[in-house]
Amino acid sequence: MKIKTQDESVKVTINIGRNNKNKLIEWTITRICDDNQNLIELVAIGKDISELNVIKTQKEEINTLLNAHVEAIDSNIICSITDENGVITYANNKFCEVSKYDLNELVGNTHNIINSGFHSKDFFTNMWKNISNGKVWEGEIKNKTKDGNYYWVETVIIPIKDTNSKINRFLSLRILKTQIKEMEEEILRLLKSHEDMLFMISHEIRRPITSIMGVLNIFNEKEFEDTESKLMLNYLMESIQELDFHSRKMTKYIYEHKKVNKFSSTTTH
Amino acid sequence: MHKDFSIIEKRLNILANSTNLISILTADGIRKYVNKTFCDYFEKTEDELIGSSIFYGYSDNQK
Repeated sequence: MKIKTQDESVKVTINIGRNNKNKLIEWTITRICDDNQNLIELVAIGKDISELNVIKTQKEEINTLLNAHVEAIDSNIICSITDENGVITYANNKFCEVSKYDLNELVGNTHNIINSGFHSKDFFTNMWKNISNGKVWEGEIKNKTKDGNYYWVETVIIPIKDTNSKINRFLSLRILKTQIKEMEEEILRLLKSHEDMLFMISHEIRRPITSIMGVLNIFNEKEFEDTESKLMLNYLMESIQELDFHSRKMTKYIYEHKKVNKFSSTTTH
Repeated sequence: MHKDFSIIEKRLNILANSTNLISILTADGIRKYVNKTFCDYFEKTEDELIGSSIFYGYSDNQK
């Protein structure tokens, strides 16, 4: 009698109680029939998939948690993933929204696409040195949008390793910082103008005041015959002394004000 | 001795050594072959299993 195996296989999962544990077995059942399609026997091949099932459940839980995290990140944080060469493989909506680029414009490019040109080459070389050595890099970066506007981001870049401990991806998380940065820049501008004023007062204004005072002192030693000239000279003397006093006060004020401020226009950023 | 194994015996040997649970049933659900993995898994001997029906088997939950 010729026996042939039918192609159809059935996958069945059943629960059995074993050692007080529910086991899940996946059965592949093959019908073996004779030439007249009469069923002769069944071959059942079973595989315990209980652990697989536990892993599957865990995976689903992790996925749910991960999705919640991704959702939270997406609403506030600019996120991107690159390969080991820095080529963008993923960018979230916030990244697209802020940079004004579409996802397909970003993927395949490096972050050079949003380079503002503000930072030195050394700045990025140093960054690469850190992250390619597996270190987390933190810093502030000025980026450029597609339409040519600038934005500051506080950045964290995390190297991700594969199972062989080799870095194969970089995860970048950024918070938009433009407003804070603009305020800082405004403060620095104000401080700079304070310093300019200090310079102007101490040099450009104080110098002529001193000259005038010197000349007036010489005149003051002379005897004037008419009282009118004497009065005018006194008036000039009083005025210049007043100007001298106030300009000194201003210099002192700006100098002290500059000292207490934590910012300084000499700060580079 | 191994050289004398027929092809069928060799095939049975493969089934016996499989880590999968293997059983061959008659058309009406009587076990006529179970491998060692099957016996070990259900903590039964070959004698207990062969000839038994899958409908009165190892589990009350089985449908």
